[in-house]
Amino acid sequence: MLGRDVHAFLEEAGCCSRCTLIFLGTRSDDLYGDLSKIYEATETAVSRLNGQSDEVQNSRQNSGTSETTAGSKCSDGIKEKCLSSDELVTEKSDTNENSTKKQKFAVCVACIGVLQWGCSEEAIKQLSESIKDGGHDADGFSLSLSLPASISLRIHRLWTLLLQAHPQFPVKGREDHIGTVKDVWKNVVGPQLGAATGKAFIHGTYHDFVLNVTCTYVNDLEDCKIMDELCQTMFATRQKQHKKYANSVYSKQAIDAAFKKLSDSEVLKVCPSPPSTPSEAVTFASLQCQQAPMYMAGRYNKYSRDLPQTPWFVEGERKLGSSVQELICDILDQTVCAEDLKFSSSGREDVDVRCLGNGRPFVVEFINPQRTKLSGDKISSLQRTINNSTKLIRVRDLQIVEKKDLKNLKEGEEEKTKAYCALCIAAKGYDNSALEALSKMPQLVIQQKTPLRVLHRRPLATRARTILSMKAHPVDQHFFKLHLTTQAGTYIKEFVHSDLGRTVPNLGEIMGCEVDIIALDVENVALDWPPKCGD
Amino acid sequence: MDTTSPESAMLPPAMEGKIEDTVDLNLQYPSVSERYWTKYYFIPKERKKPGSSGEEKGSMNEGTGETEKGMENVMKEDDETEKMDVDSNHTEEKDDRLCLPREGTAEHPKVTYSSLDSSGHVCVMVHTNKLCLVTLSDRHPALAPGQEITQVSYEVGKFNRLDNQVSGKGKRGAQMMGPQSPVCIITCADGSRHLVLAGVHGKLVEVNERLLANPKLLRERPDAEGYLAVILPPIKNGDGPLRRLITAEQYQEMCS
Repeated sequence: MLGRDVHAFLEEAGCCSRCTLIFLGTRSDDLYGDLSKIYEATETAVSRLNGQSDEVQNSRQNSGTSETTAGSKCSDGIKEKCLSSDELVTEKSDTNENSTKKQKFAVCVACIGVLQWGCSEEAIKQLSESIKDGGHDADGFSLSLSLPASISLRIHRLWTLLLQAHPQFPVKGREDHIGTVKDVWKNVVGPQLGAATGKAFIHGTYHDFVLNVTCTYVNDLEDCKIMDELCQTMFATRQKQHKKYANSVYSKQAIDAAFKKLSDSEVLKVCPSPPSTPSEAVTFASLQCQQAPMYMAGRYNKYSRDLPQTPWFVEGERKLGSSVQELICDILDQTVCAEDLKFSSSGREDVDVRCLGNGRPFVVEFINPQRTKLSGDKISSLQRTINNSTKLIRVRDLQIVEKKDLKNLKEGEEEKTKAYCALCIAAKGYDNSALEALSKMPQLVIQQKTPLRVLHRRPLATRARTILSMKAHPVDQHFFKLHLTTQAGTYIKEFVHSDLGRTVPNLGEIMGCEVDIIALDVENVALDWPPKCGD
Repeated sequence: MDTTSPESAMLPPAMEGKIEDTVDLNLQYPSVSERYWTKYYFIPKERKKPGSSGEEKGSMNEGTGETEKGMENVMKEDDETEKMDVDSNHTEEKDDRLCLPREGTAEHPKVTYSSLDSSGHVCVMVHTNKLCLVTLSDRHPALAPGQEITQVSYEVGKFNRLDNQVSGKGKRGAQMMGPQSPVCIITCADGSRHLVLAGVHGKLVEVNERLLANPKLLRERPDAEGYLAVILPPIKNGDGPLRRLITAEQYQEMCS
């Protein structure tokens, strides 16, 4: 009888009871149940395969202790076997002693203990500790599992042997077998982990907070060496390319790809018997908590003419004390506690340029943040703390935003006009009439070669830019201030002093006298994002 | 939490005041050339060539004591041992010395070596970002009082600097320059012709094409709008590219 024979085959080969159930084709939630559920489901599956569906209904109603049917004899035997193979293997420490004994005491040949030790109390303790140690304030979590390559190999081999011995066995379970092993582990472990940590276990893909579990098997490489025989060419070349395949000559994808090419009969020639009993169960080589990034946006004013936007180092030495970025982010990170952070803004101004008006929009990306739940009050308090800590900058409209909102920054940088005030010096004096003429000028298109001061790190190019409007006021006979609004990406300093003639037309040409720029302020960045916070 | 020391900054930590209150209105405000650039000087060696006149200039490198003979070897060193960011597209100047037509060509009047003077002092202006401007020192013969510049040409024998093309941040495809590389030929009203040498290693980024139409700019603003060329020295070599140069102080001492 198919069901009984296959069950015996798998058990003889050394599969644990959950793996056996997966082979038998069950894909329901029964897979995630405790051992008694597994026994029931196994009986069901076996009977189904034996083709005696009616008796199965009856026997199940009697809570798994069917007496009268032919199938029941098998199910008793099954229960014993399931019991022994699993109960004795939940503690890792047992497996080494028992590896020489009969297989039912040993590590599963298919899952190498993922569904045995991997679901045990000890394993769950390791997992819950790593979540607690992470210190993240997420309310829910999901799990991601990475398995050693040899599991793919073992499962492929078992399927070929199974089908050889029982050609009429339904093969559709083969496709999603590995995926199912992972699902089973997650759904067995997840709820218990949830109970242990107080966080809600979330099924399926949930990217906000994930515990990434990497399982490894100590003899993975050994097991996989058989791939050299099975698929000579593929792995031979990989062996040689040390740089490319340093750690992963035998990867899961490679093995899957190889098996797609191989026929079952080719596999059987090389592997006529089941895979050997693993020497020990898998271990959790790494447990990493990963929280999705959090984004905070705001606007900053800069009042110093001696402050870079980001930390400035020349040959390992800090050039100027602090930076806009540090003045903002150091305080925020004290609360958020992120692994790393990225500061970006809608354009930037030079060290010696002030940023006035509503300020320049910026975003801080917090990578793997511990704290993501921040109330409006808490955010306001953080903003106040930043503003009280220094007179050099001011922050406003601080708020949490979503990743999709970030594109506003780029748009602001590339498209929005900017308003400036340039304090200019005309060493040999200037004509008032020339000054007045500036405000009457129509929009002016200038050609700017990449300024010499940035040419060492930018490509050489000539860019056309538009000066939209100008208005100048005298300060004294040698100094005047020029208000101008320009297209995004215009170099104001170079427009004033001409960059040795590489920006044309330039202010000096237009006014007919020599001019230079002594100070520059950004008066406004015309971007309506992030939304005002009314503080 | 405030890790800056605003009070020690040169300017007051300006607040939201008027722009004219945030800086010193200083009539002696340094020009663009003075603010961003430091002047160094390159004194080309006199070459032994038939009919050339001109004194031996003082040695420029402390410590290497070169002789005329030794100079040949040194220049080889320049080309071969100084590792630069060389890509396969550049035009390497193996012999970047005076590669000039011996006979006249259709465009140029008949010239001989002796009338082309490459001994004029060059002022290399180095930006804070390490970019170099090749300019004429104020002691260059072409800038002598009463002299007049009639033409600037970037066709220097084997190379035409106007053909230079660069792309990307790394200025790929640039013509490679060494200290002895010719940049341009300046023709004066009195018929004298001067070959200007680069003075530094690096990639030629651009030449000042405005001098083609307006050679007078060179005498008017030699250390600003009248610059000759922009060279990007190799990043890795630290001060290597400046090896053949002397500081402004040293130059003043030498020439006084």
